[in-house]
Amino acid sequence: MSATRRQFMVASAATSALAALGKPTKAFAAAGGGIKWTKGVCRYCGVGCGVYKGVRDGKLVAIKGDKENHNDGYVCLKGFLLPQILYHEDRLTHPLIKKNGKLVKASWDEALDLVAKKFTESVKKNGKDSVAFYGSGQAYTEESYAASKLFRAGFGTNNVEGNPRLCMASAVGGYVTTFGKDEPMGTYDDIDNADVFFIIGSNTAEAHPVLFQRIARRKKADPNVKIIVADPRMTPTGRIADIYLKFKPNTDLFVLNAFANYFVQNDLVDKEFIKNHLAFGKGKAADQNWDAYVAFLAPYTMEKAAEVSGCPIEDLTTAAKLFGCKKNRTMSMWTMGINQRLRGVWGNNLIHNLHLITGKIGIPGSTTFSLTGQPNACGGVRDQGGLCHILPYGRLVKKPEHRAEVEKIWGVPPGTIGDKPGKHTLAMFQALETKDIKCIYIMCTNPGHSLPNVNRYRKAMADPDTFVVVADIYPTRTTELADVVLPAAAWSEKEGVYGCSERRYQLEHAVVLPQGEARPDFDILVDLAARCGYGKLMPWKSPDDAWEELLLLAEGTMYQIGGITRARLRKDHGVIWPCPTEDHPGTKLRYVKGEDPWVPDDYPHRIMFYGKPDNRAVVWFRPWENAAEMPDEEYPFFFTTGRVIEHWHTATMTGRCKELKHAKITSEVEIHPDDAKKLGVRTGDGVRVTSRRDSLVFPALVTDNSQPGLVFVHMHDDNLKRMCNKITIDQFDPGSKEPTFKICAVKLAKA
Amino acid sequence: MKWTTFSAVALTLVGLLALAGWGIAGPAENPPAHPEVEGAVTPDACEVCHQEVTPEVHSEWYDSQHGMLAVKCFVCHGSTGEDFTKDPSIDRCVGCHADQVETMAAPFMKDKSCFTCHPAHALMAHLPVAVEGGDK
Ligand code: SF4
Repeated sequence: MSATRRQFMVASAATSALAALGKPTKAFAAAGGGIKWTKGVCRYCGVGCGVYKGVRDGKLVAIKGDKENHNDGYVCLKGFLLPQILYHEDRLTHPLIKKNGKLVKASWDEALDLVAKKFTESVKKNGKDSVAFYGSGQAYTEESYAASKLFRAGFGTNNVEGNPRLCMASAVGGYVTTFGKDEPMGTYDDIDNADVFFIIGSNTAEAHPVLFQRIARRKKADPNVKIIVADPRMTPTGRIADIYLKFKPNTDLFVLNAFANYFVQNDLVDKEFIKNHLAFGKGKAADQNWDAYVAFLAPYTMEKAAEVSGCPIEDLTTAAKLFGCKKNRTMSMWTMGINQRLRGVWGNNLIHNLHLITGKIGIPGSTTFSLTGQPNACGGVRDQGGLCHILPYGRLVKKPEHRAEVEKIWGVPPGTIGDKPGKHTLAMFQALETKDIKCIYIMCTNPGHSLPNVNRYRKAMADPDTFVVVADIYPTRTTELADVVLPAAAWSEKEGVYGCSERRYQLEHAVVLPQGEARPDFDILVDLAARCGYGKLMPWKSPDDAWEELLLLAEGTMYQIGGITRARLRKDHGVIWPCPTEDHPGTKLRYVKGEDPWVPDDYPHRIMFYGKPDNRAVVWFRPWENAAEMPDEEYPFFFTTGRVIEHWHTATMTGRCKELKHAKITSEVEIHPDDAKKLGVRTGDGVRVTSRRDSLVFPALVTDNSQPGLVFVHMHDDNLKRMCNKITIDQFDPGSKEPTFKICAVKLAKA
Repeated sequence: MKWTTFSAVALTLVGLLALAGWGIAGPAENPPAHPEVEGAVTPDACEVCHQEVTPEVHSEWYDSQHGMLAVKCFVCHGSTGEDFTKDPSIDRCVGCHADQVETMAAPFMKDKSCFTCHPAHALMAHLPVAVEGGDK
């Protein structure tokens, strides 16, 4: 540290001790009046905290947590600083069109006419599947729905995708294969009733801070509560852990099977539950039995698990004992560490298995809960049908009866919706590379930063022969590649529904006007549809009308959101589906008799897995396998990526908050002291990280939070010299098609 | 290559200005600014420097509820340069403690701040002894 800096800091500290004592604080601005508070939802993560938004003189000036919502009045540091995301000078305030290689100001008419012309011409000339939509788990449900309808019923393509493919697809795959229906069966309330938490592949403290706080509160209220955290890195989540399983990367699937085997060997299974509620399967068929499962688990011993994972056997057995102990209510939580893997769906299945064979499911505090990254990945994309293979509310593109139901409600001729799924995210951008897709409309997301092996796809987007439209609120690493940029209204400047991790739908209200000429994505899409000749598909005056249509689509499906009317959303602080009628309180324990309206009152058991035809959830045999790219002699290190609390996704918003733009925005490479010593690097030195895709230099952060053989870089830095996705690999889970951001192989050198 | 956490030139200038300003205002006043870090390559958040230069303050915070839950320095103190505030205003507490902030308008709270009862940085739930007037 420089002498000047030290002098300043020490002198500053001396005065702060004096000044901090009992000085009157400035009266809170709200007390002085002039602020109007309106309820809403945080813009950032999938926790979906309820907030109150304070507006004064037409400007959003303050945020406070909503006490009547699940977050009990708390927000995290990002949520608190939300007002700033509207007002940075970089806001896109008018459309831009690329002319002679430069984005220049254009009118809305000029921009939208050009988009309409390019897309309709391409459909005529190159076929329906030459156009595509790539959306977001941050758009409102009505917006994602409008896009889906325009592309499927208008242009006639199922090339409708969204960034939840990058984060949640494996969780969907896990829930659907095990239970027959997507989305968790529990809610955040389970936290208050759990005795044991099993947090794996999730840095909850930084990625889902308000839930972490709720877990910490639970532990504080009852010191007997035990918390097991399993992660290859020691993250801040470890601060509340009783047991930290710092397993070697990619060995978690072995550990999960070893836990199941331990339950079997130590009589911690619930035989009655197994008999009444479970089926067993291998590959894709549920045609196995308990004995075959026991045989499958046999090689997964605790001794072997300790050897493979590098975790002490005592820690593994204590963790398994706590999880499986019959009197304990256990809640598992996970996120990208499990999902963004070659075998992400399998990882999900294996967590579900632990709850199923022990019967620890559908009891308050016992549940298997996937944490979502984005505020509307669940409600807006998974439920609404915003991926290439699905249609609204659990319907599948490949099922003729499902297509027919949707076509009927849409009032379009039978056969309008294509009978084959469109292209999943990576296939979509690869098709852009091969020019099979010629035009793509990207809304509310930043694939120019967030796709794995991103150089490849940046090149495809920048190609002058592809036509790329991007709607966003700020310039991003994607708008710079676009042919047309549409300035979108931001959160709080428009109205729509968000659905968070716990099946809770909430209304986000417009409280301020859009900046400049910016327009809500919903309006832009309705306008574009009209210009393309598909105006009849969207006879809506506002998102309210689109919501009515969505309620119709959900009718008769297992989603049952009929009671979540617009009027109720305006009034309530979120409603959890299934919720069949306006006076229904919502369902906290899905599949449970007396709670879930889908389970008949006379069903002979406490729980009914009605997502499966035989009402039996499936315990899948999923072996441990290597990652898509394992370290080898040439590339000997595991490379993994993730979040820090200060930033969110590609930092297009947090990077523009004055408190956050200096805080951890630069990606460092976390490296274990043993490896650092071998390389001769110290914290602050440059380290060259090279994969088979690219080679970048990051400043080193030497820390034993890491482990030998593993390096970590956060995903937020958008500096082209440090964008971690230039390094990551674009392999994906063959089931969920979710990319394997969490593991690839690299070599290191001092830079 | 070596990563610098601050731009040395910017820091020196701001630091000198800050110290000069102090001389006039007296040591008990707010320093006019925190070193500006705009444009510098700064992998580190506040904690990294303050662990070194104000270790007591850092550990009080780190071991507190706010530290545990990663309510970091800038939530109360704002950013650097002119956006830095050494004595956080009550506006900074409202995000999570709106009800308590409202009670600060009560007459017996006159001349008190949140930090009268919740010592800065540790910010524990309450001081072990009742504060004069606080429980009238
Ligand atoms: S935890 Fe997530 S939803 Fe809640 S305030 Fe923080 S970023 Fe927003």
